Amino acid sequence: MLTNAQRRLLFIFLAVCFIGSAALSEVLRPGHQEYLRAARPEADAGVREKEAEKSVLAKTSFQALIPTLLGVREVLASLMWVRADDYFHRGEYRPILKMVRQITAIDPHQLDVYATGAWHMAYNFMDKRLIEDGIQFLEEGCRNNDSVYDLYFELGYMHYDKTKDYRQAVNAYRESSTRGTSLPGHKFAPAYVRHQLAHAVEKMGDIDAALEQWRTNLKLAKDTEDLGLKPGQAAGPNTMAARHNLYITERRMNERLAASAERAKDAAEAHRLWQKNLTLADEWLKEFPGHPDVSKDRQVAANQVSRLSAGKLVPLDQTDPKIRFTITRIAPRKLQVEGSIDVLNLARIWVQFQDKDYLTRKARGFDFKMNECTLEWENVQIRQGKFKHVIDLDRDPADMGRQPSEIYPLKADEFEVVFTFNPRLQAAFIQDRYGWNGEGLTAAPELLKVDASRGARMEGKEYPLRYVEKVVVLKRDDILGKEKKVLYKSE
Amino acid sequence: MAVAIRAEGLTKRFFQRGEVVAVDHLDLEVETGEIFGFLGPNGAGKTTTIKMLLGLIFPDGGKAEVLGYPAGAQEMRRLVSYLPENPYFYDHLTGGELLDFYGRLFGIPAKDRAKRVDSLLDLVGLRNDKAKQLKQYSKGMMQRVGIAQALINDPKLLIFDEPTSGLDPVAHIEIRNLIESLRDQGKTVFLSSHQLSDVELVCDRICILNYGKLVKAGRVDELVAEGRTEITATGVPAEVTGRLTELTGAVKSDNEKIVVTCSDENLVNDILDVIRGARGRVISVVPLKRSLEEIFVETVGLAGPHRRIGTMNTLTRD
Amino acid sequence: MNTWVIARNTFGDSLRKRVLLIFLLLAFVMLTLALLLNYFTAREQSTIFKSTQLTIILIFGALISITTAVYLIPTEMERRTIYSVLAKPVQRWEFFLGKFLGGAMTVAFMVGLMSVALILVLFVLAAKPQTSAIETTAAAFKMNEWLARCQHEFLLVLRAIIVLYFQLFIITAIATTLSLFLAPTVNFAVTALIWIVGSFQSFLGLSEGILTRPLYYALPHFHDFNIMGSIVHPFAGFQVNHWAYAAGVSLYAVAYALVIVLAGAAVFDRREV
Repeated sequence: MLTNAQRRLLFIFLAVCFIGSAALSEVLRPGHQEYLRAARPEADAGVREKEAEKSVLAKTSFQALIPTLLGVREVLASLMWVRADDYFHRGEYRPILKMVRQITAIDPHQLDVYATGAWHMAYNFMDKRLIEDGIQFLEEGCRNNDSVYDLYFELGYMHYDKTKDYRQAVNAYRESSTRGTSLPGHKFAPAYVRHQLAHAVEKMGDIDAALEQWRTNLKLAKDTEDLGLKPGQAAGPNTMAARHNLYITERRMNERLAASAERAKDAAEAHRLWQKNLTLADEWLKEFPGHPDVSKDRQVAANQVSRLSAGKLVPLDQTDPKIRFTITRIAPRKLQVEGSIDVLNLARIWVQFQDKDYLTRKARGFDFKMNECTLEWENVQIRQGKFKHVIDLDRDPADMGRQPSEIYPLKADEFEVVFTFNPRLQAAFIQDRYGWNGEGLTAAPELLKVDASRGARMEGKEYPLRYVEKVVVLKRDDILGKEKKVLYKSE
Repeated sequence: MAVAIRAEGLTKRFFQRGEVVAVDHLDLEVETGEIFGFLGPNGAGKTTTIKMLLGLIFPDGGKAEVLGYPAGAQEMRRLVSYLPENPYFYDHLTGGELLDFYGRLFGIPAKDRAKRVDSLLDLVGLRNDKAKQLKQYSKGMMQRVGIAQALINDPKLLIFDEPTSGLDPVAHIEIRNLIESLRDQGKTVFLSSHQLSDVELVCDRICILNYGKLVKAGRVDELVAEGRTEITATGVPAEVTGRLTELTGAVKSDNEKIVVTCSDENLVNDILDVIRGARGRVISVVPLKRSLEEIFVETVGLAGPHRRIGTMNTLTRD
Repeated sequence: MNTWVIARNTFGDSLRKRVLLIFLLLAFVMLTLALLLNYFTAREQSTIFKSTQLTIILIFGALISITTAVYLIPTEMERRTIYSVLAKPVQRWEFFLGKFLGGAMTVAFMVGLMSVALILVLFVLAAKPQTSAIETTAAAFKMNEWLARCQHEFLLVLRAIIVLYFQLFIITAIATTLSLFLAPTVNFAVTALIWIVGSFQSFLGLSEGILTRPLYYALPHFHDFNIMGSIVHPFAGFQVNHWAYAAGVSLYAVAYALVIVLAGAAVFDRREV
């Protein structure tokens, strides 16, 4: 037994420990709050609320539960993700939408949930209206995980592949290329991010910038190799890929400019550009003798140089694709689009069906969009100058058992069917025929569109984009009517 | 002679459905070098007293000193050892490990500890079971290892609570001999036991506790000898028998033989004189001894409705 | 010294408790179950695995802590082993502290075993090619990359386990001291309740009110031990010196546990056995 004096000492020591523990917990408080803060971005300035409101899932009572989940949020999020993945593998996509939103609300650092969730929205639901939600979801993920490249890269890819909005793709890829990875010790994004950036810059039309980006990529790849750094630790030795892409971009630019010069009957300029390609190929072959692709390129360039040297100019005329078509209601909610267009085989025509004022209507909110707005498109292939496509608004495109009216509400009074022939979205040999910027296209003034914002920049000069577009407006009754009926026929 | 244990007015109360006085103003003195028997029926307060002496529980009144230290003092526990009733030790340990563990608690250096553990195991006959886990020990082996642990610190005073319970007769004798040899080494043994025959054989002094009160105490030989003398004779005339009856009041006659029981030593010669004077023939003069058991039963009474058997069990786990 | 002797003995005794082994076995089963998540990408797998497994270790660790601690003293009383020990020159506080330390050592050992299993599995996972969702071309296995990842994972898990263990250290202290007043089953429930309340108490707002502030400091701050985000998402850019925080929170645990255990020792010092 302790004496009373010893007990007094014990209690004093006990009090000191208690005060010490209280003081320590105060010292720890900022750190704890930082761990807490970073895990609760939804509390930050209401940004997330605003985003969530107009996105796939409006704020639910579920989110009110989140603060109580401290300590289990990561594991709960992980387990929910395993469950969501389970739904996916069983082909049940619908619960996933809500779940990914809940998961990222609980734990906003689940990169793969953002990436895969956005992919589900933009791809698997096959509901074109949700693509922008997938993009918003990724944008939220980027904000919550600003230090890593991953989600910016996914965002870039979605713009690049799904919406073909190359300007946005470039922005996202550029952000991505300046971030590190989520893996230990990786300070730089992998090389493919910068390669993808260069491709997007090229698709956007700024060839000068694309060339510059390839040069940067090449230099970084070389530096990395010189440093003997291991792949994954830095950019990766993609020297060869960067070099080859730089060559192709430069060659393609010269080809495009030469086609344009020849169309303008400027033989000297065309000669100069083909000569440039010849030199380019020679330089490449000096370093890599006998490279098959480049040898072929060299032959093409040499032929063109000798043709032009001989004064044989073959200026192509501008082509009017003379787009003509019929829109027939073959059943309620089923529109058959059939027509002809005078372009090369395997070209594609973009057929888009939407509310007449889709952009203003869908801006009224997520619920309104899902209940009232309609959007569908298809990039239809042209064979022997003809195309045929059924805009089927009477089915679930993903066979998920949804009512057609859930995907295609058809609530607007008027709808428009938009037919677009855009040379940029065509294969290379088709681009050459009509000009990469559509220089070789002509059409009636009401059909020929000129868009400087999507134009090109090559050797310091700006070129607007020319494309052909025809819009047909239909009434709702036209689409919902029962018997077969021709709704529109070109003059 | 120095005093090993001294208790004055030691009192302990428990509260469970009313107050129970487990030990009631107990005065006790155990001298150094003796074997002291501490007797009493179940629930008399024996284990409670022992726990107070060891400082496991604290008295509500009175005070106790052990080897000159206040009961329970750290210094006192260094010199005392305790064998609880029905001892139960950490059964994940082997016999050797258990003794080593207790040796450490006394701060015995490793080298001495190893030697001491072996010699103690020898002493209690567990040498061959040193590496066996205690959970494989029989009750008797457990008791032996308990005795061994009580000796690990070479104590001056040993407090044994029922050391022979559960042992076979041979082991009984061994333990008895051991306790006697401990006294021969100058140690004091405080022995709480039901085994009255053991107590009678080894104890120098005893006390009997009932209802927490000391009801009898004294030297064993004095207690048991506090008896009578039985004189058997023949050929005593009947009128003489009448005189003897007047003297002692306890004369039995059986044909020619008479048996006179006398509880006053001073009368023995007078009786003999009377018999001889009447030409009677004295066959035997036998001083009668009582067994401790008789004394015990006489003191605490037979089990009856008034006895509180087991009252204390739930409270003190004895 | 005696404290250490008793602690070691308690440790040896506790390790033979069958219920603890069952907990450990269950934990191991759940640890290996995670390997079934093989169809996820390496990063997903690592995220899911680390978060679930650390939670499993925390929960089973808490179960082991409480189960061990609630019986430390009562079993001694029940088996009456305490008498022969306290009759020796052992101070009551030494005994109490020794029992607590023995319990804490048991928990450390169990958590250590589970952590080794966790780390081994993480090393296996780290050998999987690290690819993003889009770039799926499998990279070749590279030894030094794998070793670097293993080192990274090891340091993360080490930090997580240290912080996790000190949380259990407090739980053990609470259950040990409460065992002086409460029966084991009641103690189990009460300690578990304190654990849960302490984990969520930053949301109870106790630190806000002047009246509730003492209660805020009196309750253990288990919420401070939640560093899971920085373990599962090491890239997430928390502006915290992780190791300093881990050290601070461990120190807090020691100070707080000392308060609890010494209070228990003070009570036990005057307690009849």
